[in-house]
Amino acid sequence: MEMSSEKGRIPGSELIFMLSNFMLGSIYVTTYTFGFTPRNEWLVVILAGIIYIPFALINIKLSDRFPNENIIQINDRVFGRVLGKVVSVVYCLFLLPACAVNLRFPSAFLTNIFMLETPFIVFALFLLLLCVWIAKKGIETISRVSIVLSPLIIFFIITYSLLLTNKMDVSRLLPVFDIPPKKFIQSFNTILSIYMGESFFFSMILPYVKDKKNIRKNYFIGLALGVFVMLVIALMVTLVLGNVASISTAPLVQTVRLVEVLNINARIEFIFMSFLVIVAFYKCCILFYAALLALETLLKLKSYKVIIIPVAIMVFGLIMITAANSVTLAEDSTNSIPLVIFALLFVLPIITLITAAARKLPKTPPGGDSA
Amino acid sequence: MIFAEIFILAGLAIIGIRAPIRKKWWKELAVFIILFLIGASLMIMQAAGLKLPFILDSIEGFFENVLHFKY
Repeated sequence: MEMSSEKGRIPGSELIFMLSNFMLGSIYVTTYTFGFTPRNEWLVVILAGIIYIPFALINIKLSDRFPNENIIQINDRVFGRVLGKVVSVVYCLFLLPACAVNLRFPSAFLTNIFMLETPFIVFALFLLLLCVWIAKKGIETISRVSIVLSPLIIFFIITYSLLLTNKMDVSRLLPVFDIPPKKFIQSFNTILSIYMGESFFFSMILPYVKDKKNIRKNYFIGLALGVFVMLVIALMVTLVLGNVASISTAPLVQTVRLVEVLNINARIEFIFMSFLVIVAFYKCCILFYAALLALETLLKLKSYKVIIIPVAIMVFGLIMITAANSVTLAEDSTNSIPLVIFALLFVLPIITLITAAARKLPKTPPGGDSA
Repeated sequence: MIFAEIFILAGLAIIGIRAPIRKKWWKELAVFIILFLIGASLMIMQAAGLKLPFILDSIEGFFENVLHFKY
């Protein structure tokens, strides 16, 4: 089957940073999950990380079976032309609102925390224009950005954690499991689905990784790095705020605002927050790029670059709809969105893999032209 | 507001359709026009003050009312 118009290839090592940055792009979910599990967030992260391993393996197994094909091409092969197209349309219909929702969060964050008078749609428009520009440059540019971003993010998170050690109290982690199981499950499902589950869309990017043999290793290192950074953040917030995190509108911001240098409130949270906005934007770039590639493959277009403008307009239209529904969006992030993600990005890939195995696909050796 | 939006959208349409026309990619041009019309109508309806339903609300309704699944 034909590859898409994208000719770029990414080294295996860059996949690690891309994946960890992509996961960090969903760090905003902590705003909601700390409301459910203020003291047990670190347990939720560890548990979600462990539970996600078999699902990550399913993504990798699909990539092993169809090394040069993205999920849209795989659907065609596995489910046939008609049903495959239906499944692919469902993925596309998920990707576009996902782009809008993910682009809304950094924009709303900038408006709510830093620039209260500026409508968030202004930030959304500028971030979307950047997404368009980066998507036009191709996969290699997107992957190279991650090499610069990842070390900086990790450096800042560790530095802020060290600067906050004088405000940490280990007793704030206790008692463990003192919340109703329903709250724990809701928090767990939110972290598992939004923070980890959306990385399923790397199946659009895996065909462009050069080092096919080490995809499994690099994928798991990226996953582990993403979980580790999230764990550090969860521990940092819990150790500093404790139960207060449950009533805070932005626990992470509140935590880093407490950083003191030489007993003076340094107010250096904007550096940390800027990086969080950048990673959230980075995730949007990958989702936007994946949406373009998915549509290109689905509609058998000669190049995804032709549809960048209309897709960007559609995403902007969807962002405007989310703006009018900001209250329900906050509720949906912990209610319906995780359930939709679970059905689409966890259950559907399992069905795809089982069907591929039952039909003994691909019929040609991996990497061979089976068209 | 609507006129400003239509003006900007028209500008974007002109920029966007040049490449497929120049390369004689008619299928791509058709896809461009269809997707563009969907996106443009979403934006214009918003600008006209129409409150469009958020897709996740309907999905949540499906989970709650049909599957009876709610936290």
